[in-house]
Amino acid sequence: MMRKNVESHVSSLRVFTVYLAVLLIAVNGSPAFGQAVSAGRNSNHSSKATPQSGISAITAARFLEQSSWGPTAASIAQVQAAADLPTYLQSQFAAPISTYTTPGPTDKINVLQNQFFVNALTGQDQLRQRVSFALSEIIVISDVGPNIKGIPAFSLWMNMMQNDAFGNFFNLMNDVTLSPSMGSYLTMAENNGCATKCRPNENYGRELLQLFTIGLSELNIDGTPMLDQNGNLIPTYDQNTIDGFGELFTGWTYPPVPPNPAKFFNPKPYYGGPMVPFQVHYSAASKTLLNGYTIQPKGNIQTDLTAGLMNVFTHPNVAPFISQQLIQKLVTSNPTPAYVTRVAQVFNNDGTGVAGNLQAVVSAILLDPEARRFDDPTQQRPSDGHLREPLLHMMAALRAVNATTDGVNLNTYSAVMDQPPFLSPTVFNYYPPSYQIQGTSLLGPEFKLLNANTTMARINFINDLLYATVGPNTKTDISQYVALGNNVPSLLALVNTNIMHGEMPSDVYDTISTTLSSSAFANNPTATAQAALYLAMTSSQFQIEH
Amino acid sequence: MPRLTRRSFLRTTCCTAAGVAAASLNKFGLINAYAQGSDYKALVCIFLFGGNDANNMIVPYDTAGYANYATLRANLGLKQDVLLPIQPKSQPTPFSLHPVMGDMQTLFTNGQVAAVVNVGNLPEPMTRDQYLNGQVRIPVNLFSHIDQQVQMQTDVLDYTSFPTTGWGGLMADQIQAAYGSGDFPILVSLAGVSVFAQGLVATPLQTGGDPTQSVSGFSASPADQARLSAFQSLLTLEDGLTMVQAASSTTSNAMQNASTLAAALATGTKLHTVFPKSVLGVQLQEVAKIIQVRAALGLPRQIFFVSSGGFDTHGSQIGTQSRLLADLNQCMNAFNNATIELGIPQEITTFTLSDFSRTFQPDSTQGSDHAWGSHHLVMGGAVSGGDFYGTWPTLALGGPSDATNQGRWIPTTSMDQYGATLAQWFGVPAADLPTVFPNLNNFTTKTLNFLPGAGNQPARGARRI
Repeated sequence: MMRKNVESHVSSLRVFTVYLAVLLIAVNGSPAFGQAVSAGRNSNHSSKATPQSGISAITAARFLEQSSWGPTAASIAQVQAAADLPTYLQSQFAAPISTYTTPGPTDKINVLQNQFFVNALTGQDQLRQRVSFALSEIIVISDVGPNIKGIPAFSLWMNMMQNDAFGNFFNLMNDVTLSPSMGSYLTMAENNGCATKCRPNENYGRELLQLFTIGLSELNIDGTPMLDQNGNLIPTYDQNTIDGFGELFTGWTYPPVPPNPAKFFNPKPYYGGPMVPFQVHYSAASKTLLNGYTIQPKGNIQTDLTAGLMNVFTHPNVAPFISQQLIQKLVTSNPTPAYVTRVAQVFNNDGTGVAGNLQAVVSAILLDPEARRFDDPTQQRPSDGHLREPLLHMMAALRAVNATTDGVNLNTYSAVMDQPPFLSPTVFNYYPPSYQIQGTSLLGPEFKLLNANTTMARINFINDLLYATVGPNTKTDISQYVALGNNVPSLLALVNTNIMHGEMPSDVYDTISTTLSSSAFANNPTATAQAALYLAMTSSQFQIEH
Repeated sequence: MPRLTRRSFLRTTCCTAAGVAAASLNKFGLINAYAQGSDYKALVCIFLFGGNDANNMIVPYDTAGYANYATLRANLGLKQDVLLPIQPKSQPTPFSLHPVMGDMQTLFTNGQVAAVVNVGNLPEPMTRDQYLNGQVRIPVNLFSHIDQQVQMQTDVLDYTSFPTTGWGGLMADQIQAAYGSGDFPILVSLAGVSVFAQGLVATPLQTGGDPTQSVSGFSASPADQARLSAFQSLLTLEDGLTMVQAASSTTSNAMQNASTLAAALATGTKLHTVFPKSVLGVQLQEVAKIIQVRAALGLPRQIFFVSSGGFDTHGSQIGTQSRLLADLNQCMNAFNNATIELGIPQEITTFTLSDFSRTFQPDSTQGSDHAWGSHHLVMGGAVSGGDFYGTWPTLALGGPSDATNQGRWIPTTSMDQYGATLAQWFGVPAADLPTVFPNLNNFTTKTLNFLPGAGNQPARGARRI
């Protein structure tokens, strides 16, 4: 790739139009929910009739797979009882927010990990949790490594993420930038305008651009990379830009522990509020940012920060970069370019002229025809789906067996599956969005975590959940399945509805049915029910959400 | 497409160890001869994730050189009285290693460790002026962690989407072509899924933990055996979804390999060498155990990929790097001892890689930022140690070696040349090296001299495909 000066291809007028225009983008016509399903997939073996609202059991279950930590019989009924999916979404936007309580002075990270599992299992704000978790996998902090000193950094961070998940992305960017948790993790805290024998560190600026907002290459609105006339990627920035952001993100430090005054070179990192500015430690240099925008020297630290963040937020990459990753986390690893475009357009304009409206983006993702396509069992495509990341796999299974928990010991399972909460190995998350499944042409980010050891860990978690115990205070309730243990077709219909979104493939059904109908399981409804659940939840057909 | 290939699929009672071991040994009598004989070789790649600051791993020790280092590195500079002196044979002046690398100092002095200096991802030779004037090709997304990690593992430096085969996997393909496929992968990654491991044909074993672990909870009862049988049947169903097949293959292969490896390890004896209990130490111990039973596995060539992380020291570098290099030192030393205990130190070569080095000039938070050319260590009985290979950079900010003004050294040795030297020793024919290392023909010198007597071809006992 030859280096060249790349002319900005983005006119400022277009950027201006994007977020100040009053163009109303017509929302796509709603897909036909609850349409009659054919027997291509075994919805014949599903046990729920289509109620008057028109939301089929299949639609409800798939919607919940995409918008919650996993369907339950109760949540499926709740969705089906709603007037339509947008109405159900509104109730999710309004649901009370699950929070994290500030840990005690001697608590370790497991205390917060336990809260994560409890919130995921019991919180009403399932969609908010899914979205905030997805955002926390794009904008990452972690207790791995020496940088963050103090577990409260994580409870405050997650509460911020939860609050901001349904707000505006610019607001999230601002809260993240000024979060002392992030300030510790990516060393922006106490970065200062050192001019001669050292230089400001570029850590936060680099990762803000590369990972949290725009990525390394110019993107089309459909998420595909732009290419120059030689077929090469077009970098979004160069080292000069990184230097500029390095200079910009200087002069901020931890808030003081009340009632002390704020102090730069604060020896005690404290996470109880946004970082505070010190103009005297702010770099006086000029800062060249994205697309040639330059902040003049000797500016005001706060004004400059806002201008810098706006420079990033208005880059056209943000919409496709964020939209594509949210689609990948919630629905499918391989969205069509058209799907990405539709969602990115909503990111740029929610219909009222506002850019960055995360509620609108999430609605667009979940209501899109691509997300709803396989509500019709005849509409599967080979490239569909995404591998449930380990925490989603665990939570879906826990919810499917009506578990109650205090969270204790679940973290050890998540760790052997390579996804312990709050312990991402690096700022690149547990897995990158760009990972391609070996031997295929498909993206499959979560497959980066599927190796010989973790695949066994995922399967053996199901074994422990059903046949042993996964935590000293975790209980499961499979009585509704055991009650059908002497009636294999009814049992499998319930498994199909609750666990395989009513679309269990016929060959899977036949294999399990033949096994359970054999004499080995005769007159043992508990073993029959356990085996049905084991085979379903360890199957790749379950592990691949589709 | 990852799938069960030439492997029998165990459908009955899981993992009858004796049965599997017997089958392996019978099938590979010929290849066993190589494994037990002197034609065995193993390469062990230690990847330091995050970008190790090699500027503090190898430090000039002569008066002028150290003074320059100390001035420019300021608060990142290490005190001279704790550095560990070494005298590379070809260098006119003395150098030193980081204070915590005492064992590496000993091995360097004894000739078992060499350093490859100022090496990195490099499509073609270039000067600072050529770089700044845009007159040469440079790696895509230089200074980006994920890209530089992928490039070190694949040697593909110019792409619009990430390459999907690594030079480790491509070498495994070559070995498989020479020896035929066996019952156990040639390449084992103990560091999880890595592009380094992926070839076009050969399927690696990739694990982040115990590779002998398989599915649990199946007793001999009829119900459990029927359930196990159904479980295995379900793994063969694709249901029109590519991802279902990919996930199922991963599980099937994992079960197969777990069974084969467990049986093979049962033929080994406990090693006396004590390894650190760190992530890297545990991985290298597993490597040593697997090498010990290479005959039972029927493998005349093996490639291993292990890792250590946390090297991205933008802040608080001194303490963090000290801990990390101390662990690296102890782990590498333990592994070297293990190769001696196994009796084949000259058949095992261990080498380090990392994303990049770090800025010579410190940043304002007692750390350093992303840079480029780095120094790496090569260890083993076949290594011509006690010397530097490559060209030591000029340690001057904005000087002729610097791509910028903060001390980011433009490599003078490419990953291609570094890797080709290892591959040639390993048995990849010279004519095949550019296939594995695509930039190699841009360099006049194809290999360095730290593995003399290289060019040992795989023995032609097996039919070459």
